[in-house]
Amino acid sequence: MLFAMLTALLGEVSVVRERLDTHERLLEKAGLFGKDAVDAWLPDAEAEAERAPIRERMMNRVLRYLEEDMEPAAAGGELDRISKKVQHGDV
Amino acid sequence: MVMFEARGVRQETMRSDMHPRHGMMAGATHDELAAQKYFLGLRAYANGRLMAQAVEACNDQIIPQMGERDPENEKDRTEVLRKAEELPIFQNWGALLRTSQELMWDYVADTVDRQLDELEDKFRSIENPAGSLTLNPELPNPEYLALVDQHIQPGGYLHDAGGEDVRAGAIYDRGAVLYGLGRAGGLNDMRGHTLCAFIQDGFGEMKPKRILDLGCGVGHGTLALTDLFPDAEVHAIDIGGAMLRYAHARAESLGKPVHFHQQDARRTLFDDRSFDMVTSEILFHESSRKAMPAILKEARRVLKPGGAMCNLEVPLRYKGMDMGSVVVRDWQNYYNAEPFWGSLGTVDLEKAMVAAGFKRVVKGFQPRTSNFAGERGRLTHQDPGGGMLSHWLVFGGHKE
Repeated sequence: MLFAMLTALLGEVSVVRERLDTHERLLEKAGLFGKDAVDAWLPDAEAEAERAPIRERMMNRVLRYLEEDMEPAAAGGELDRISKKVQHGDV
Repeated sequence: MVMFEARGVRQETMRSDMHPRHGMMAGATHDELAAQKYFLGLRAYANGRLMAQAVEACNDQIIPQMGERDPENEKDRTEVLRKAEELPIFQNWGALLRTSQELMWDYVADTVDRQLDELEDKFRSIENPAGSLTLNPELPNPEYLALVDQHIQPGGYLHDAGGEDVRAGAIYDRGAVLYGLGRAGGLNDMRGHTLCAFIQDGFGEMKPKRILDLGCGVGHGTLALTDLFPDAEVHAIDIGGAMLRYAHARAESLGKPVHFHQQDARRTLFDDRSFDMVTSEILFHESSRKAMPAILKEARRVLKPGGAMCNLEVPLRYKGMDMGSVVVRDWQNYYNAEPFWGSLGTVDLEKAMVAAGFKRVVKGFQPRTSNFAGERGRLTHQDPGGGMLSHWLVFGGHKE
């Protein structure tokens, strides 16, 4: 399932990449800037400082599942225990 | 509240409802909005095709093996759910729904945290309030609420850092916009208006001077009550301190006079016979088997003779439902951190009201409305079906 989802996600990213390419070409055609200008551009310290947390946040959001034990409660019966308490009058 | 009913999201409504309608709503940036719209798509997919297949697989593959089961019997429900959880399609649906819920809070927290300082400033700088806020930081959290983070909102409804903390309220309010999928009304007050419609249809002769709203959260329902009874003195209680600070600032930004108090609905600090009307809105499914009768009894205590209690709840009714549809709902008890949700669907609410001492008990279904004063459907006592997209469960009674 994970493989299939990643494959689909790759499809989406491809579409976005292509659209970005189209934008660059159209911008160049309109006399603004093109691919070369994008490649040659170097972010200054301020831009880098702003980008780092964006990248970090994205990585945390997607990769955090590697660090989380997704089913400890279910496996340990904790959810059942809580539900019984609430449903049967202990609390 | 259940993580369902995602089909038929009206994108037009969604767009307009995702922007601030009051001074405390945290507004989203372009990217935050894009992420939140992605959540809507994910939710619609999980609850659309995927859930339908999970339900079908359960009915076709599990039930024939296990034999007919009673949807109102908790043991039957749990046994079917445990078997259903072995089905790959059920696992896929559950995993995606749970992940989408976690992402939702994550996205909303981004929006709120970016401007938390400003929101706290707004709370700090309220001038000449029309209402009031009385906090009691020493109030212990009821165990049934402290056991879980409701709706898996990180920290639940109760997290309170003290000081000017409004975060839990800000996240809940913005989350409710998404949760409601654009159908919760401009101020997230569709349920409040529906409760007001019930009061008009079922208790129309009453002109309460003093009203108490229980478990008010950020005041979604409370403010509609101030519109229905503009001359009444409206009080509202909740357990969460950060919720209440936000609720107070939100009400003031809209010019609505409400007196908010941090109190436990099972044992309030109000005098006997001090209110003409007590209300609640989707409160009881967050309570417990033991707390529910205590809350009803307390409501009766603070009511004056001749007063009334009016409640709105989620129209969850297991009776007559196919078992697959039942277990995808019961799943919420465990994985959306709502341990009393499924059980409330089997509680006899009329009996519970009578047991608490209420007379002339009314129970019915109120057509949803975002404007009780406009054109709307009338209270019906026949179960219309259709879930909360069409009707909400309402019940109430008098103190004689």
